[in-house]
Amino acid sequence: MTTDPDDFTDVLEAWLQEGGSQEDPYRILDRALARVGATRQVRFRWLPPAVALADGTLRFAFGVMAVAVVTVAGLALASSGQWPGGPPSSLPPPSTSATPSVAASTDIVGLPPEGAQASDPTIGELVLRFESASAPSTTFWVYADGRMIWSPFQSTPPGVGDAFTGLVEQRLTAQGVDFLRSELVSSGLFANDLLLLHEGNAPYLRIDLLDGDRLVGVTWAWSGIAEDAPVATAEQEAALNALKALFADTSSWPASAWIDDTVTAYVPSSYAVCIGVQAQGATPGHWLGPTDPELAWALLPQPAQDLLAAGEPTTNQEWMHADAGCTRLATDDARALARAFEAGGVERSSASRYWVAYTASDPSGAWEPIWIQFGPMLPDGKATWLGPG
Amino acid sequence: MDTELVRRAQQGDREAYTRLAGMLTARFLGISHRILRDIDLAEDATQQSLVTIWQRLPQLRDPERFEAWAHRLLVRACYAESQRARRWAPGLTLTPANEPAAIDELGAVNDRDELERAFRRLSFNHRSVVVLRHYAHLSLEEVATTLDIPVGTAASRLHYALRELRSAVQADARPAHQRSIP
Repeated sequence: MTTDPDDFTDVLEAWLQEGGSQEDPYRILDRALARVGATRQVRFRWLPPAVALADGTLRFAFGVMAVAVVTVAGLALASSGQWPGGPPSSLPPPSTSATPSVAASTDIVGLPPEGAQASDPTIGELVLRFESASAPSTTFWVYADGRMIWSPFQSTPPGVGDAFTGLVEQRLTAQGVDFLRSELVSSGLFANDLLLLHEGNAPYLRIDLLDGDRLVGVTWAWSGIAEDAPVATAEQEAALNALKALFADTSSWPASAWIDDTVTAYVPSSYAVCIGVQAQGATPGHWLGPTDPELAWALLPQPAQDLLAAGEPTTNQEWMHADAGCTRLATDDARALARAFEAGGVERSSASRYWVAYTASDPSGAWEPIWIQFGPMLPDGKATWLGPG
Repeated sequence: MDTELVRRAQQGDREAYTRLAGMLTARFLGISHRILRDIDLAEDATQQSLVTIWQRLPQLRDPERFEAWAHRLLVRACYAESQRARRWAPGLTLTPANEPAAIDELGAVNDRDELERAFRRLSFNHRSVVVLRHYAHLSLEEVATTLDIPVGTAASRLHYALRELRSAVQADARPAHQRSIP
């Protein structure tokens, strides 16, 4: 068979159309209507009756459980000598704006160690963003203040030190920023947002460039992604390949582009902690969307709930649902939250140095595991995620 | 979709809801069947999403967005079904969704098999994007709205999913002696 993208899309769509004769929508409609006949609508935004009852019960149960777990864990750790100086209450309070009752013990793999200096300044205007799936797959963020932050794709550049958690930074001069901007502008691709297709199997490429007060985005993707977008002309393809080459070898940039080309760890000043829940099975009334984070928090240890409640709700992140229950926490608070999880028995879902995620379970069985992901905040106030998925 | 019908259903009008559900069911069953590749799971997901729509309709702020919102609930129900199936029958091998069809070329049969296998290897997120785009024929923006993800994320997922599917078919198209033995 041919794998020409257009032909392939035709084959795929024809294949997807198959199987219809097994489907009996009328039977399903009848069943659904029978259930609806015995089901009341939920008139309150986030306290459906079934859940309200479960929520109250669970809050109480988990409050008791969290106290018990923290107490037992504290006693166990103190008696094993892992907390020199005695139980948590005798330790100096962690440097957080909230007041978690879980004290510092060890650093959390995947979060900057205590005392690591956050990248300065904490706020910056994004000038361009370059994302390429070409090997080595990576993303660059360049800011007006000259910072270039990038992800070395799950490898550790030499000499970045213990503060490295997946992102690094280098410092460009104003000339360096102008150099990159002019390289992009001179490609002729950034007059408007552009989705271009290629007929081959080249990796996904996305570049955004600040124009006035908005980012203009150019995407170059395989043609199966959209039917009505134009295929890149030979000239556009050459320009896109030139931009890929530009970012593939930053050592080729002029010396005047750099204040300091030393690669150092990017230490975020804050993290977006995002929570996602999924309903288990088909129990009516137990589905909770990500707009209801408080109900998921109820399943977490109390110190973790306190920290999350003290954070700032945010939707400004790149990887979760737009209305996911994300909370922005200062890095110290994010570290305290991770400690609260670990003291409270919440399971870390990976030991990676490049991303932090936990999985909490709901003993009632109403929900599938609850995911909690920590995404580093970038200077433009948007969080990113370096983990899988 | 008729927004007046949506408004009436939001007020608890079961007749209005019945008409809405009647418009959605065949489409929902088709989408869930393609995502889950199992008719029983698809029926459960469709039924659950229709009940959830009824329950949560009063919470929908903008009736104009009913369709995207309803599709989102369907995809979530599909996800819940896929997890339930995995939890209760971890070794379960789902049967192919497509019934035998008159295929006049051996090559076409191979394509179908390869597509089936490759599609099953995709993650749930990737399957959803492919089905919404290439079966339900939603635009990329509509796919993103339905899944509540940025357009760039939808584009990226679609790109990788299609690349995987095409690679699988491409591998099958190679002469047998060039293929690796699994």
